Amino acid sequence: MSDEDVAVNQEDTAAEQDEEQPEQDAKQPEQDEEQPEQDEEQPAEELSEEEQAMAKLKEAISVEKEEIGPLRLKLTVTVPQDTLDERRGDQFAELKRDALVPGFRKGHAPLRLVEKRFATDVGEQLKTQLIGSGYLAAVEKEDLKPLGDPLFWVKVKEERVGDDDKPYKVETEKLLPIDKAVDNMILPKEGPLTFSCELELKPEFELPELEKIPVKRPAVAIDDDDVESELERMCMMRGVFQPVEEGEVEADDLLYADMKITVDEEVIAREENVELAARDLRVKGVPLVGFGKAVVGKALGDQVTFEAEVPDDHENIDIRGKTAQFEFVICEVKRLEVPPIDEEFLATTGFDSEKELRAATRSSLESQLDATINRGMREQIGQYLVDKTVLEIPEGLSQRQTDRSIARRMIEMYQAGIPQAQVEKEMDELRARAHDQAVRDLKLFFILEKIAEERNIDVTEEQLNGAIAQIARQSNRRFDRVRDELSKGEGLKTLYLQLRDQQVLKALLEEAEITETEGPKKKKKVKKKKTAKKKKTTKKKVSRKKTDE
Amino acid sequence: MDIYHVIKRPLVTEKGTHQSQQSHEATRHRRARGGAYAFEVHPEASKPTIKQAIEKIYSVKVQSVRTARRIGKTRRVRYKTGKTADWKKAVVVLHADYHIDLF
Repeated sequence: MSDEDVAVNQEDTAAEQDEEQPEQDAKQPEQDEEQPEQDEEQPAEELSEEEQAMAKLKEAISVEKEEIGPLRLKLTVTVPQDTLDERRGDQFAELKRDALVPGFRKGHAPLRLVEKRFATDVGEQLKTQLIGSGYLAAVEKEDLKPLGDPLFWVKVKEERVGDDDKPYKVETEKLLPIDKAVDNMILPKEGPLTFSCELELKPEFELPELEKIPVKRPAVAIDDDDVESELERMCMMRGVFQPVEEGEVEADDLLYADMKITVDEEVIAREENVELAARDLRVKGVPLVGFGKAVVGKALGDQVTFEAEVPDDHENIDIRGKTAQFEFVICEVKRLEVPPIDEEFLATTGFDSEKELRAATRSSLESQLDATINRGMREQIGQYLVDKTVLEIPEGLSQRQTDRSIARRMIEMYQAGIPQAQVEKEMDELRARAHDQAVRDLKLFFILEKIAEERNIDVTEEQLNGAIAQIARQSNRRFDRVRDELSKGEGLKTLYLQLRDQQVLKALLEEAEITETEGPKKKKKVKKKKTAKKKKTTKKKVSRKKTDE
Repeated sequence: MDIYHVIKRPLVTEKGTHQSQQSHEATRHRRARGGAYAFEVHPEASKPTIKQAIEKIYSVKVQSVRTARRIGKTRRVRYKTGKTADWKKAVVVLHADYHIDLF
C-alpha cells in the first residue's frame, strides 16, 4: 500500500512541479481561512438564501421549449458551467465543516483533501439537486403549469442477446421518472449540464357561467305507502322459511329436489336434495328461464322436467351450446312466513309502539331520499360543468387514469369470483367505456379545482378530521388508526379532494336555479303499490336473493 | 534498503499539513512558508537515507530531516496485554524552491 501511495505522489509531483507552484501554494491557506467565515452566515437566512439560489439558477439556465402533442412539452434545460462550479464549491464548503477525515479534527481537513475524498458523493448529490431544481427553475422561468412529475430522457445501456447468443450492450434513449433517470445521468466534469424532459401541462380553460345552473329536482316525498313497503321489507327480513306439508308450490317458494341433468342422453350430473327457488334461476351454470312458471302448481313428490340451452361460456367445453334436460323430483317445499308487526317484533326493533317505528322509518327514508336527490342534483351540476366547458385533457394522463380504473375494476371482479373468461370479455367493453369516463372525471376534476381556487374554497383540518372520524365510526375502528392508514397511501389526499369537491358542488348548488319536476320514480312506485302490494314485496325479495347468489 | 522501503507513506494529518504550510523554527529564515513534510519511514532508516529517498522519489532538494521514533502503545484486550507497533516518523524540510503535493 505504501508503495502505491508513494508512487502516485511521485507522479503528482512530477506533473505539477512548475515554477509558479510555490506561489499558488502560498495562496492556499488564505482561501481556506476565508471559507469558514462565509459559512457561518448561512444558517441565519436559510430560507431566503434558498430562494435566492433558485432565482439565481432561474437566471443562469437556458431553456428550450418544444411542443410534442396536445398539452405536452419537451424541455431542454442547460445549466452553465459557472453555476455548476459555484454549486460544487458551495457543497464542498458545507461538507468541509463536518467532514471526518482521518488525521484531522472535525472541520479541520483542508478543502482540497475534502474535495478529493468526497468528489463522487458530492457529484451524485449535485446531480440530483441540479436536475431537480433545474427543472423547477425552468418551469418557473417559462411560467408553466405542469401536471404530475416529468419524465427525463436518458441514455440507458441495455444488454441484449444477439443472433449468435452472445450478449451485447446497446445504448438506447429512454423516458424515465426522475429517481431512475438520475442514476443513469452523468454529470460532466467540464462544460455545462444539459438534460431534457417531457411534461404534461395543466389545461387552460374558461369556466362557464356558474350562477344559476339549471338543476331539476324531482318532486318526490315519502308517503304512507313508502313507509308501509319499508315496514313490509323489514318484516320479510325477519321472516323464516317453514315447511309446507300439503298444497301446491307457489312462486318464490323454497324447494328441495333430487336433480338429474342429461345432455345428448348422457347423464352429466345427479344430485340429491338440491336447494332451489320457484323462480328463474341458474343451476350448474345453466340459466333456467321460465322455471318459476313451470314449477308453480306442482305438489310434493311431483316430477318436473325442463329443457335449457347451455351457454357458450359454460365451464364444461363439451356441452357448450347444447340442450340440457333437467329432471327434478320435489322432496320438500318451504315457504316464507312473514311475522306480523306485534310486540315481539317491536321489541326486536327497539321501539315501544308501532307509531314510533313508523315515524322513525319515515324519517330515515326521508333522509335517504334527500341524500339521493342531493346526489342527483350534484351530478347534474357536474354534468353541466363538463358539458359547458371546452377543455382538452393530456392524452398520457387520461390513459393512465383509464388504466388505473380498469385495473381496479379487474381486481374487484376477481375478488368477486367471476371467472377469467368473463372478466376478460368484460375488460374489452370496459376499456372503451372507461376511457370516456376517465376523460370526464379528469375534466370535472380540473373544473372543480379551478372553481375552488377562484372562490377560495378549502378544506380545514377540522373538516378533514371530522370526515375521518365518520369513517372510523362507520367501520368501527379507532380514529388514529384510520388516520394513520389513510396517511400511508394517497388516502388523505383523496379524502381532501373529495371533501373539497363536495364543498364546491354544495356552493354551486346554493346558487343554482332549481326547478321542480315530476318525479318519475315516484309514479311507478305508486302504481305498483296500488295494483299489487304483494308483487312488489316479492320482487324485492327476488332481487335481494339474486345478489346473495 | 530500497528507497520505497525507506519511505512507507506520507502522513496526511492536520499537523503535517500545518508544517508544510507554516514556518517552523528550523525554517524560520523562510517566512510564511513551511515546506516541511511528514512521512512514516522504516524504523531503521537514517536521516541521510531518508534524504536520498525523498530526493529521488519526489525529485526535490531536501534541506534537512528531523526524525522521531514513535514507541507503540500498550493495548489490552480483556486480560491480555499487547502492543501496537513502533514506527518512525520523519519530517523532511525542503529547499525553498521545491514543494511536494501530498494530496
